[in-house]
Amino acid sequence: MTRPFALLAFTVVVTAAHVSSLLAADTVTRKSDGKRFLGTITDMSRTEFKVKKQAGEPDVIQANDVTSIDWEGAPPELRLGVTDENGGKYELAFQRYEKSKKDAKNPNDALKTELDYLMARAAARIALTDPDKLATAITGLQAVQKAFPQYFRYYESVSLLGQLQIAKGDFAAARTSFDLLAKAPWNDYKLAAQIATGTILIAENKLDEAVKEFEAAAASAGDSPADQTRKYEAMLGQARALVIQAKHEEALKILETVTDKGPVEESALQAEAYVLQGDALQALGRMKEAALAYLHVDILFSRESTFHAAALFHLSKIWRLVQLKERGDEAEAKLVQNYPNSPWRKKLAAPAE
Amino acid sequence: MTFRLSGYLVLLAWLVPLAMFPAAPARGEEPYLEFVQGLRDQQYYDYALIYLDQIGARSNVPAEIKQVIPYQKAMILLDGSKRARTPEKQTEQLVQALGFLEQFVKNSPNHASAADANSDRAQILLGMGQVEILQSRSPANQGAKREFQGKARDLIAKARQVFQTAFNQHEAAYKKFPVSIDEQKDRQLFASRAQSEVNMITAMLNLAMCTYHEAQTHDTGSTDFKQLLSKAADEFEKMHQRYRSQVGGLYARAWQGKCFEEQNDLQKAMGIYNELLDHPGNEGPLARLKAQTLYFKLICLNSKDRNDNQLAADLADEWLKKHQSESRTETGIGIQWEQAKAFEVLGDKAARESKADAERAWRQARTIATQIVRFPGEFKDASQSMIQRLQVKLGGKEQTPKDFDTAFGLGGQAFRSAIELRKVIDGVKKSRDSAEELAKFEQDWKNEINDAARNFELALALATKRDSAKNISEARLWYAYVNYWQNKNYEAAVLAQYVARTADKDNGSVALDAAFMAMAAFVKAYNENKAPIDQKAEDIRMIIRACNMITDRWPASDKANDARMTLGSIYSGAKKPAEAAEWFGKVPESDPRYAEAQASAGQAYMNAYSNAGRLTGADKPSVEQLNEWLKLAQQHLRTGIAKLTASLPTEGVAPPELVNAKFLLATIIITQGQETEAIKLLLDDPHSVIKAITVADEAARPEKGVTSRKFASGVYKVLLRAYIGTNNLDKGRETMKTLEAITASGGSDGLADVTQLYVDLGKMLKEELDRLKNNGEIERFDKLMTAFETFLNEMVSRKEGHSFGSLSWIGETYFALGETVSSDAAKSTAFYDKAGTAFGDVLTKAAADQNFATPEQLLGVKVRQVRVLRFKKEFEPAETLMGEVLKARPNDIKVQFAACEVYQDWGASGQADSAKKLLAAFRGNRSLGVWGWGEIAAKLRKSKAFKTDPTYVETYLDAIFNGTVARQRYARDLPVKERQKELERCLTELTTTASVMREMSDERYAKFNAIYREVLQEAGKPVADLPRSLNVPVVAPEEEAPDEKKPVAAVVEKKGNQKAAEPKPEPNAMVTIVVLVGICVFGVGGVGWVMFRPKPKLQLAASASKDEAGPVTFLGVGGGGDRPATGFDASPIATPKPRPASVPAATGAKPASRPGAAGAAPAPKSRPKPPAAPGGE
Repeated sequence: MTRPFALLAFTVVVTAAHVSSLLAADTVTRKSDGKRFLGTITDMSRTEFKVKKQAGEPDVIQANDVTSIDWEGAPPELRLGVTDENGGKYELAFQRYEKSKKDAKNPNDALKTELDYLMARAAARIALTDPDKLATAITGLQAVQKAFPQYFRYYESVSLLGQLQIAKGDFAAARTSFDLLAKAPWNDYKLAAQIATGTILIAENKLDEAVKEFEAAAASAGDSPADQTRKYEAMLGQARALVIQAKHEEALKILETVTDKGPVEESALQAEAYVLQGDALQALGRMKEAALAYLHVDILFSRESTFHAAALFHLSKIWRLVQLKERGDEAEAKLVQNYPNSPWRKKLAAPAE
Repeated sequence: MTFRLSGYLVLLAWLVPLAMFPAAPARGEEPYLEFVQGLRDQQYYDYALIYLDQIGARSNVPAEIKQVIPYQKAMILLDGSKRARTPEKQTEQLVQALGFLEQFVKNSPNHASAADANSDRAQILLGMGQVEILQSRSPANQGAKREFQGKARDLIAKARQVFQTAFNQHEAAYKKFPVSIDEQKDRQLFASRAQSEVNMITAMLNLAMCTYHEAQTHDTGSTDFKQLLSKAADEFEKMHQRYRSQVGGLYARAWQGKCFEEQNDLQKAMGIYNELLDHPGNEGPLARLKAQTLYFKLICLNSKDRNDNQLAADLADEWLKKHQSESRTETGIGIQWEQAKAFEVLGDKAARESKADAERAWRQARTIATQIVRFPGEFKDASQSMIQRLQVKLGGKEQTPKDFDTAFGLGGQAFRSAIELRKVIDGVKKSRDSAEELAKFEQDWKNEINDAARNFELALALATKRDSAKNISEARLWYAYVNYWQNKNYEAAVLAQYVARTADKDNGSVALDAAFMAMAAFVKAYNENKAPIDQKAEDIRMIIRACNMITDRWPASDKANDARMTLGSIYSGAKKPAEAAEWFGKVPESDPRYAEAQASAGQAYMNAYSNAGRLTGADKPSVEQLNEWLKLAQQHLRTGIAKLTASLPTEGVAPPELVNAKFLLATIIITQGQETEAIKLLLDDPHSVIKAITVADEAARPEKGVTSRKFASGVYKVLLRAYIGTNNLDKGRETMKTLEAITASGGSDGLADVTQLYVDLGKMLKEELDRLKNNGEIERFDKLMTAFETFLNEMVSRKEGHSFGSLSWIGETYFALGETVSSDAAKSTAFYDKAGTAFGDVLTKAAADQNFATPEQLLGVKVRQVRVLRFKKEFEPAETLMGEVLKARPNDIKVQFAACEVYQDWGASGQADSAKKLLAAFRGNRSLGVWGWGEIAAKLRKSKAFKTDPTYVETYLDAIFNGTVARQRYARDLPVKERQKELERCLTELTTTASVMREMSDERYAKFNAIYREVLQEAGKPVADLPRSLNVPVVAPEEEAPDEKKPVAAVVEKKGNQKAAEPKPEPNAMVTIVVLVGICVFGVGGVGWVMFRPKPKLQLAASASKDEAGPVTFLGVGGGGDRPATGFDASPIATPKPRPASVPAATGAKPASRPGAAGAAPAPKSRPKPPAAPGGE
């Protein structure tokens, strides 16, 4: 086991016994309306928790409706870690969480749990770009879930676990994870589970079934922002399957809707849409338009590291094809510099490989 | 550390020709190595290796091809290794290449390329030795330094041994040639000896380079190091003495200088570098040599002893400005590194006196180092250190921001400073202050732009959900402006489009400004793309989308009118005149460019009408639609003319846009039988067209504008056509004389142009007739046919006073009429007879009077006479006459084409020996000097102009197509086995061409695909579409039975867009595959083009250089059909320039600045609104 994960497992065990009584003065920002709640977090479960104010009835916050929590007594590194993680700097985020855990002075149990979940999450995101770390990341997530099953990030971690299992090729395990996710009480989580099933079907090369699954998910999305985001994710999945089936024109129509109407703040969604758009255009021989699609990822969504690396790889090839060699060189240099361990960088290696 | 073959290997590029092997396939055979070369050119190394494996397994591949497969594989792996990014992979590929080279040398020790293979082997060994040298110098390897040095020496010793063998082989080969060879008499032998000498020089240079590198295996300054450098310098000197007139000798001189420099003898080194840099010539290998020499010189200038850093910085700057595309090469990065070093030292020096100057220089150094650090190589680490050093020197204010607001603030500050500096620069330029001052401001401006870019990029990377969405949008938009100024057009467009789509509606005009910026950026990218118009479809689509965004979302804004004008221009350029007209027509009357837009709309509708004649099937518009277009064209032109006329005084010369609009209207109305009104429109005041195009001195017509020769001649052609329509013979002849005078005064080739003039006139008449016929306008067709015939007959009946020109015109026009009524054999033959008589008269008169026509003109007439005979199916006399022409013009492609056409038609005619004639069409007829389609294609493919001149490519594709058709027909009468073989060759030819010629137009592809499907069917194969573009064909094993259900051409990877087959070409697919785009009635569109397009860069009369194998020319004796096809080149669209200061829009009744001639894109005049100054100002 690598050092961070060994440490994680250890801390999980040590703090496991203390989660039930979570009490501190914290600030919670709610996703649906941006409202902030000041108080003490209590009655934590995997679906909701309460914010107890000094006077009056406590506010109930749904677990899927949290933008951020500013924890009372958290070291400044924690906030920086969250920023780094949002910026796609997962390694750095992990280090900051780890440091936060060390630096925190008398942290309460809630903060300790939070840090464990965040470390597991960052580790999982690292593993999604580095297949060598998948097994350890899975173990880390499972450990934290087992230790703190009644925590508001539980379902989020289940989703992440499923993604890791797909990446590892363990589709049976992934199905189990997403079945569990489907039991969450919110429609957007159920949709997420359905979308993940479509993703598994793609991985199993059952493309027609995957398209149907995605179509069904998109059709059953409600009007809430969270549901709408899932709808576009489902459309993206559908486009992914269509690209694999070489139905490029069909895929492009869907992708155009995703990039034009999909939520702009969902950068991963947008980044993948542009990469797929580039792939489809490339297959159609529309090289310059493909370059432009990939360029969106490079310029606007570079924090989405997986897609950024893919975009740079394609740009390095396509610029040369459209007689802009020096730009190809630049894209290649950027890929080598920013993603030395990415599979895309390895793919660069040699034309005759 | 990256494994880099030494930079000096670059120099070998001048010495090593691309294909040193059985270059041309035997005529009619599969072009194995050409295909491999094509794949290498496209960097499809993996497919090239697969293909070589495939042909290696086939038993019908000639032994001499199989013999070179290992060598070809080695070359591919060498190419591939240069692109490899990991040292391990690179080494692996080089080792594999080494293995193949050894295999080749062992199996074929006496092969002509064995010596080259040895040289390549040695180069690999030397490259590996260099890696060891670099390892020995790495601080991390200091403990193992000696070991690395030893390994390097061993490898270099091995390399030397192989180089020595190669040298001996090359020297022996060279000595076998006679000392004296007459280049004129034995061109081939002369070229072979020259190549052999080059090989020998290369080997000699390599041996000296071994000595230089061996010196590097010793510690700098050690005795061995010095001794070996001295020895290397002597070896280079000897080479230079012996081969000072060869590039190889000059390279030796450069390396001699390097040896001096490394021995600290800078004076000698500088002397050598200056001598080389002053050497005449800046192309190809000399350019590379000079770049390398400059790099060496910069090292000297930056050395502590010379300390001439300003000169180093300036020289580097000068080079980088001229060679932007090479700035990422190894030498380019070396030059940039020396420039960065120079700026750092300049900053250090300035720090004592001026902090501002010091900071300017350090910032420049940092900008360059930041560029270099992005590339792997020996300067990467050094640049990183420099950046850190400079951060310290630049102090606290240069610290990297940690959040969006700070970075955005700094970016905005730099952006604002850049805007202010630009104003200052504009002021300084106007006041013509000192150049030095201006240069400082320019540099400051660049620094500010770079800072703005860096900070905006950082700001956007640091942005979180907590940051202001409005500020983030603005950061993106300003960053788009910065990218635009830095010529990163696509980046600018991506950012701006994103802002346009996502900016908050309440955020002022940000979204509209952004949308307009995106359009401007795409237009700029389009204009900067130097590819031919037919390869710019994607750029066009991007502009269209950007324009549509503006017209959809802000339809009432001024910018929407800009977008409409741009769309009109774009659709015109994209050959969609109906759409163009629609967009021009949408510009409202309130817009100052209304009149211009109306005229452009009129012209576009007219183009739509004219082009309709070429459309077929469902694409062909109905007669009602055509009439509607013509009506709209007239309507818009009349409105445009009225508006323009009303805005002008009656006196004075008419502005060009009015002249053009009148000319266009005249062109339309003559087709409607309104010749009298057309004549009035052209002649009458106010604003007479004829007066506007008249010049005092015919010889001094400008290249562009309404008084240009092309435009004037276009107007007179219309006038002539109008006189023919009114049967005014006298005025008609008078007009012809004027026309001839205008054309003939066009410089040295004026006489040849007169010939072409009559060819064009005949062709244009035919086009008008064809269009009427195709459009179903029978009444007009009959009327015009009668008018032409009457006019011609009357001309002929006046026996006296005929010139070469008038007889040529008569011949051409009768010929055109014959073609027009080709479905009526008796009628067409009668016209051909009359054409033949007219051409015959020319030849008779010329025989009697030497001054009647030039020999060049007579050759042209003979070619046209051949064409007449061919059309009359009198092939034997056609062949005889063609033999005469070929004797005079053996290398003229047009003549060769005409000869092949005779054989191809002969073969298809069903007359005796048709198989032989078809064979002659694609294999040629040596006795007459006919190359055949195969050789025409091969010669074109090998010509230097092939990569630069689209005419060569198009002609090449025509030759391939015609050759395939001829072979296919030839195969039909063969026994089954032979037929199958020939059909397989057809398939290979087609798949190979479609794979290698990736930019083939859709129209062309459709033709190739149709014949491909036909051949598959005849070969009993499943019918499939021709794999295109990235699809690389896998050649079916030859033992595959013809009746097996497998397709001959499978596809390795299905990526491309396989289009459905278009309607098949005419079964009797003759050679004429020419589309003179842009020519409408009497060439009006063409005239518009010529008038406003930039001077064509690609001249038809391009002859191959003397070192090409089999030079080909397009001298064009005229009348050889329509060879070569000319595409149309687009005028650049005026790029809206975003400026940081408001630019007042043009208002009032000012006439449009230029006419909207076909394809001459009317420019969007307004510019993107300047961004609001950041920081709330």
